[in-house]
Amino acid sequence: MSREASRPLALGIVVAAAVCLGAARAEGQDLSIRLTPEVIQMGTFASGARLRIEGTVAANAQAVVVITGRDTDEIFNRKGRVGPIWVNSGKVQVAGVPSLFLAFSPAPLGAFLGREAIERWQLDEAAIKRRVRVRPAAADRPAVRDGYVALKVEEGSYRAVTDAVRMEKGAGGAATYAVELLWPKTAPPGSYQATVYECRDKAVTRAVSTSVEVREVGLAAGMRHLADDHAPLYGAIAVVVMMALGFGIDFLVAWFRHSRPRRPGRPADALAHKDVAVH
Amino acid sequence: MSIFLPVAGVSINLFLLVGAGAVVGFLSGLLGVGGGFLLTPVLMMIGVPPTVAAASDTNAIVATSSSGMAAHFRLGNVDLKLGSVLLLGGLVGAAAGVQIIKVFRLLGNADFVITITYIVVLGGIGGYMLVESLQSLRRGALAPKAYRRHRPGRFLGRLPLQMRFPRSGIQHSAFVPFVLCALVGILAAVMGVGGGFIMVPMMVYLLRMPMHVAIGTDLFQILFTCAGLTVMQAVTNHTVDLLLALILAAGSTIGAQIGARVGRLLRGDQLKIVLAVIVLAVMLKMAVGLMLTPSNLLSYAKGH
Repeated sequence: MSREASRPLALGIVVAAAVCLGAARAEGQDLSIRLTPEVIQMGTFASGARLRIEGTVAANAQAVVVITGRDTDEIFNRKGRVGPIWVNSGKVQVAGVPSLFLAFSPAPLGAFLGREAIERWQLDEAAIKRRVRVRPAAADRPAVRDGYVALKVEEGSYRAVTDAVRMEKGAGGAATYAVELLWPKTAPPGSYQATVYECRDKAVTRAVSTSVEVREVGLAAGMRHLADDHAPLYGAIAVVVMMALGFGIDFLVAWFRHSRPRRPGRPADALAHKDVAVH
Repeated sequence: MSIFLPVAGVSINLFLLVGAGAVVGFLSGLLGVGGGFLLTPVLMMIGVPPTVAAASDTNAIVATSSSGMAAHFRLGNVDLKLGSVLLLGGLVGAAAGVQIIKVFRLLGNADFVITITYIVVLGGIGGYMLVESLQSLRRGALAPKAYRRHRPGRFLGRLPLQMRFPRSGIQHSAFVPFVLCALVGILAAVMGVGGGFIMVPMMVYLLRMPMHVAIGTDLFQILFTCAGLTVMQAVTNHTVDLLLALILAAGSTIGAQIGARVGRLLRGDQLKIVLAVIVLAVMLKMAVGLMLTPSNLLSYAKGH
């Protein structure tokens, strides 16, 4: 198994171990996570689904909610100087980072977590930046790592909001947490992971995860299926539909123009071809 | 109001997409340029993945050029005979251009070559068109110029396969438009664009076609080139988003109709000035962008 492929498994084992370890320390108080809706449906006119994540943590603990996508490998153009000008001087591959990273906390992380815990559990963009693997190794510079995260933040795939989680006192001494978010428009359908980290005494005491499913439905799902499984047919349909649309609109415009009464003294298309000589 | 694009996998504001399509369609109808060199970067800016932006843009241009070509055809501005020769030359040139850029990629300096080619070609064409059109416009105010049937010189007249193109009012050996168009095809492939903004000036200045006929004939050529490219992209890369293309096309076909009508209200020289200014503006933006230190050293690879 490759290093990239083994990463989600390793993360799962770490989270499971943390859950077991934390369970012993939590003295029976539940750590839970619940999603509403359980599956995000992306229809053609889905204008950004709302997702609510809520649950309980131990009393006097803080909850940090993190949603991550699968690790990706992406190729980018890297700019470099050639004389006085900047041009694309080659490609770099960025790997080992999640395709989506959304972190929500009730306050700035530094207020209730130590830097070591933030780094260990990768709870902010700075920690993610250190996780980036750049190939070729010669191109691995801080500017490239910064550039990658800046691109992701700009497109909305990476986001850290420090006052988004609402903490309240719950029944049985536990605390409840809740966060509502608008699902990012740039995050494609697939499987994501939502994790809540219970934080006390500057450390993460427990964590629990659940998957966030985003599915295409209706016309969007049908189109995707056609594009993937019947590509030549899809390509031909794409051309025919576009030609029909183009000629159809031209026909409608022409029909509309000819159906209107003409102004006297101005024949139709009088200005057409006006700079072409009579041969 | 957002719409979910199934192949791109993202949701984008519907009105933003329609608006982008309308602006590019207007330019297409007005000037005969496909608009790919403008639309793809705009789509990337609003969040469409680069490979999907390039392929879907090509698909949308099929509708734009169909609409624009039909409008020009009814006005008598499409030379089908010459367009077929140009199309053949363009395809041969594009195939050669793809091989050339492969060699540059192996040598490791493809992007530098592409950038410099862009600036030299855009600057040369735009500058020449602007100066020539302004001079012509100034002359035209005193004595309106009439186009005359163009006859080939002694050397070109002796080339085999002499053909008359009555719609364009020119006579050439079939090799002349074929070779010229093949050269444009090479440049278009190297630059990763459809080539309309090179093709129209080439038809006007080298083949001596009237501006309006050059625009109509170029749209004919663009239509078939983009149709072929759409099928190729759908089969090999799975990056054609039909829904995205439909939205862009809805805006751009209407824009193309308006562009064609506005074009009829302008003289050929005035159209040339508009095209020259756009070409020079793109060239200047690229040249300035090359000098300034970029805010981010990384950018998404377009992958053409």
